[in-house]
Amino acid sequence: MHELGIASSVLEAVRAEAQQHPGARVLRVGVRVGELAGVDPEALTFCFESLVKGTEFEFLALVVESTPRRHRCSQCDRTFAVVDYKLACPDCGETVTRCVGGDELELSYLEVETP
Amino acid sequence: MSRVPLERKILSENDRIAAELRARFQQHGILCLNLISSPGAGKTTLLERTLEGFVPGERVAVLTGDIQTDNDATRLARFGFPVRQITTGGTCHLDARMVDRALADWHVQDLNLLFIENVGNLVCPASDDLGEAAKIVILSVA
Ligand SMILES: Nc1nc2c(ncn2[C@@H]2O[C@H](COP(=O)(O)OP(=O)(O)OP(=O)(O)O)[C@@H](O)[C@H]2O)c(=O)[nH]1
Ligand SMILES: [Mg+2]
Ligand SMILES: [Zn+2]
Repeated sequence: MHELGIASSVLEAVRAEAQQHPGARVLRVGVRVGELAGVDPEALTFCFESLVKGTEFEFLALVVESTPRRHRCSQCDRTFAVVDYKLACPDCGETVTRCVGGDELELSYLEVETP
Repeated sequence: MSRVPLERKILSENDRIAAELRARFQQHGILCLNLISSPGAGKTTLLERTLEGFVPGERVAVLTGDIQTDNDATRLARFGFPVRQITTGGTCHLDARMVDRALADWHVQDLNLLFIENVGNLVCPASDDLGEAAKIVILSVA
C-alpha cells in the first residue's frame, strides 16, 4: 500500500518530465532507494508495473538502485557503508559513528529515445 | 538514446507540506510532537496520562491516526481538550497532507502544544515528516 503511492509519484514525475521531450519514447526511469527508506524494491517494481500496464508507459522500465546505510566516523571522518549492523569504523575501529545516509528515496534519471 | 538526469526526492510533496506546517507551528509558538510505536505499545495510554495532568483551559490538542476506528479519539476526548481522529482508510501511516487537512478548520494559533498519535506501526511512520519538532518513540519491553 505504501509502495503504490511511491510508484505513482514516480510515474507522475516521469509524465511531467516526458512533456519536456515531445515525441520521444521513455524507456527507463532510475530511482535510488536507500536501505533505511522503508521501501521494498520488489514491491515497488510490482506496483509500478501494475500502474503502467495498458497505458502509454507500458514499456517503461523502473530501475531500482539500492544504496546502503552510510555512517561517518567521529575520529577519522571517513564515511563507510554499514554491513550487517557493524557500526564501528572499518579504518580506525572507533565505535562512535553517525548515520549520514541511506534513507534516500530519489529519482535519478530518465532514459529517452528520440526519433 | 539519451539519459536525462532527474535528481530530486520522490516524495518531495510531503516534505513541502511538512515544511509549511513546521513554519506555521514555529510562527505561533506551538510545540508539535509526533508519537510513534508499534501497535499497542502505549501511545494512547501515555497521552491519557499526560492530558490528565493538564489544568482545564490548557492550550493543548491531539490528532490521532488510525487505519479504521475512532476508539483512541474517544478515549482521549474524555479530558476536555480538542481531539480529532484522522482515519487513514488503509494507509499505514500519517502524512503531512492528512495533518494539514485535519488542522484546516482549527484555530491552530490558539494552541501551545499539539500531540500527534501516529498509526501503530514502526516502519513507515518513522520516515514521514509531519512538521513536528520531535518524534517520540514508545517501546514496549517485556
Ligand atoms: N503494563 C503496561 N501496560 C500498558 C502500558 N501502557 C499501555 N499499556 C496497555 O497496553 C494496551 C495498549 O495500549 P494503548 O495505549 O492503546 O496503545 P497504542 O500504542 O495507543 O495502540 P494503537 O493505537 O492501537 O497502536 C492497553 O491495554 C494498555 O492498558 C504500560 O506502561 N504498562
Ligand atoms: Mg492508540
Ligand atoms: Zn575512523
